[in-house]
Amino acid sequence: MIDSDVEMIGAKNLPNAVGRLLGPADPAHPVPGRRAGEEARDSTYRGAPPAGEPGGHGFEGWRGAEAPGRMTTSAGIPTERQPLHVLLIENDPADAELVQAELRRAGFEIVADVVQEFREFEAKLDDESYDMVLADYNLPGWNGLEALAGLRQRGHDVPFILVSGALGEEVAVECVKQGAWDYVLKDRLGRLPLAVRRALDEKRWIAGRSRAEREIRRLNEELERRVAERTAQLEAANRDLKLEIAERERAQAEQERLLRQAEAIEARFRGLLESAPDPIVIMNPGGRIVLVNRRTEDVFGYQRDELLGKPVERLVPERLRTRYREELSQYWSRPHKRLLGSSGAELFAQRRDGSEFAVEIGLSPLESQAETLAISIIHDVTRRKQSEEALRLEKEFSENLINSSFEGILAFDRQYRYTLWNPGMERMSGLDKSQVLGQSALEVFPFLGDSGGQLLSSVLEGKSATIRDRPYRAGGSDRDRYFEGSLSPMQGRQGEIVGGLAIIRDITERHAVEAMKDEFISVVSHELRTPLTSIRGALGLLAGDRLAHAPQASRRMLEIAVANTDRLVRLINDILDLERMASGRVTMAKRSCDAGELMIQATELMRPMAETAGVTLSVKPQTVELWADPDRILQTLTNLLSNAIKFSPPSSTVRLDAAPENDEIIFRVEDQGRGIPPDKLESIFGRFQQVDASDSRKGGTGLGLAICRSIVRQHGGRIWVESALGQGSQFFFTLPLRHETARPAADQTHG
Amino acid sequence: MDSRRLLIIDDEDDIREVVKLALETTAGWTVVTAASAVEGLRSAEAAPLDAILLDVSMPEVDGPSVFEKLCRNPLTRRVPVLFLTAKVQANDRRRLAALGAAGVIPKPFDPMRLAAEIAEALGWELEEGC
Repeated sequence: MIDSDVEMIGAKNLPNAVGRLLGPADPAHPVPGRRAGEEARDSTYRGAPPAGEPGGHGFEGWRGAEAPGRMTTSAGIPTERQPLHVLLIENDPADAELVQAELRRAGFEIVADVVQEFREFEAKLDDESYDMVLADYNLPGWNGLEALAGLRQRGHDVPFILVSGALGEEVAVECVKQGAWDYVLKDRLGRLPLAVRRALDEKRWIAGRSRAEREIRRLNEELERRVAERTAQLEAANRDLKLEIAERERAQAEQERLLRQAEAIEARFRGLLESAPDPIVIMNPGGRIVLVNRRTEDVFGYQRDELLGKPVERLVPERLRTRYREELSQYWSRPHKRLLGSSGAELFAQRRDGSEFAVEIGLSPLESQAETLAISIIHDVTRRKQSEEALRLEKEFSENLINSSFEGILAFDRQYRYTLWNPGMERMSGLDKSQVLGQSALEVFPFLGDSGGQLLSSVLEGKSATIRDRPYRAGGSDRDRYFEGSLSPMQGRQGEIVGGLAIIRDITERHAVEAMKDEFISVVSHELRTPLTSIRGALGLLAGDRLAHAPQASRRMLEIAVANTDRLVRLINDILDLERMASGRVTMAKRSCDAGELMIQATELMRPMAETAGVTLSVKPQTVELWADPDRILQTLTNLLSNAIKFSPPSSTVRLDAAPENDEIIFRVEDQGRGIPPDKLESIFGRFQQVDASDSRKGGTGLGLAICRSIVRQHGGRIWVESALGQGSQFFFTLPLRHETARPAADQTHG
Repeated sequence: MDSRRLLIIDDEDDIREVVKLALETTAGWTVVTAASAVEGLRSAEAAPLDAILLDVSMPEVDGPSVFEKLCRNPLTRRVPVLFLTAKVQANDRRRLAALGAAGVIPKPFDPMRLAAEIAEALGWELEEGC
């Protein structure tokens, strides 16, 4: 351990020149001696602290607190007890020995490596660690200054002391400039131990100081880091604060804007609420009424005060409250806009007087400061329900009408495509609507025939048309049928014509009846005009005075007139008779009578005619009780006998007989005449259906068999004929035997 | 007396008789009669005729059919035919007129004017005093 007192002494002995040179030359390596004794006069040093020091205060403070003696405890510095490892650069072995001896004499324990060559010097520096380098200046091929440079080059800060012979002052100064710690002249070698000790002390001091400096630097850096950190924190905080302030300002502006908007909306909303056409009820989640509008009062008949704070169920009929509560709780479980009562089960509201009305309720959430309320807008749908119902009924009615109508109903659009085809049309046309809808009315079932296009287009121009007695063909049929009907345009919403509608009915039956009627009239007309022609002709000639001198012709004309007048009377009687029976205006005056008697009566009546014709009349009367109109049965029998006689050749026989069979009696009139062709067996019972038109010459009216048939039918019997051409005919008719139950007397006397 | 010769075909005996008498006494024409289509066609071929009066409604073969046969027969097709008919409805008359006959005389007719009607239809001059 080096005594601090010794150091002080050493410092005092430092040559002035070196002390001056060292101070300002390298402040990082101040000479320790200055601190104790010379710092007061070196103002430069005090005012300008070494580079790297943050400020003078820390240094000053540290220096004042640290006692110089404490530096001797620094680690890494050899102590007196450890040998001093010295590199000695000396080419003169004697001098090398002198130097070592001098140091040992002064008490240093040394281990010295002596080198002479620069290369050797470098190798030693690389291999070993030295406490001190002592170097001669003048060496063979190099010098102490180069050694110093080599040392610095390797970064060694080991103390370097020149031990030299005569050395000029300039060289000495240069050496010190280059970093030599001290120099000792060989001829004053006695100063060497002192220089070595001082160098060691200085080395120790520097080591201590640099540790302190490192500590100061660390502290300083730490301080700076913390300051920087804090500064950064503060800056960040500042930034955040600024942002927050800006945000708050913006938010506040927004809030103010919203508030103003809300106020405006609220004002408007209040107006809207009060002027709304529907009751509006605002309620809280507890189902209590928070607000109602004026319309609520009007519709429900409550004063506002009677509703506020009350359960909203007050406005719902008792029977629906449970359901309503469920609906509401469903709503509150997820409040969003919804419409109650619009589908499914109907919803009703109840007025104060208990009356109910159908409603739809629009529910929607309303955010308020405290809680979410619900706005319910209650819309009275009574009228709508009524009109919907009316519409539904009307629709149903027209559908029924269309579907059940016996008439064919069809519609077509502007392209003549069928758009409606009811079951009536299906029946008439034999076409299913699936085969027809969408098809052109000109192609599928062109019911209007060739002029269809024209007629349809005139309907589309807005004209209605009536169709009478028009032929058509049902699908797959080759027979004409007939229809009548009407065509009318159909209008759209704007009054534009969107298509046409046709209602048609099949009149085939009626058409046939009409045709028959026409034919009948034509035939009757002909039958009446034929005798009239003869009468008119005969009388005309008589009246014309041309036959005055022709009495024979005149007589003949009179006979013709008389005969044809009789024929005309018979004809008219028969026609009227038949028509009265056909129309049901004549009832049979039925009573109990005997079939046999009627047969004999009829035969007697016809006997003169038979005799005239030379025909034998044979009768086998059958005594059977009948319930019949005897006059009519007699008429039937004489008609049949008359026909038989007319068509019998002379000398032939006409037979009349009868036979009971089961519940009826069968009459038969048999002749041996020309017979009836098979195709006329049925038709001869029709009116004016003589087998031969010339038959009328036989005095017949052509209505006899028709009258017979009518009479027989009215007695519940049947009439028919069996015949073989050329062999004669057998006319049969039946009458039921069983008595009918007693009839009112009035009926019997009738007719 | 006029020497014209006519044929009447009608199945009604009395009408044939009246027509024959009427035309003979009023116009002095010769009238041949036939009671059926078959008989009438035979008569029409048998001797030259100035006109034929033809009933429309006859059994077996009716008037129009007879007319068609007359028109097809070279011997008879030049003879003018007048229909006599009790079918006097408008459509009946139209149908007959369409066949191309010289005229249609409805029944009943005025026997005193029958000859005049025929002459008029055929463009004949009737002699004075007839």
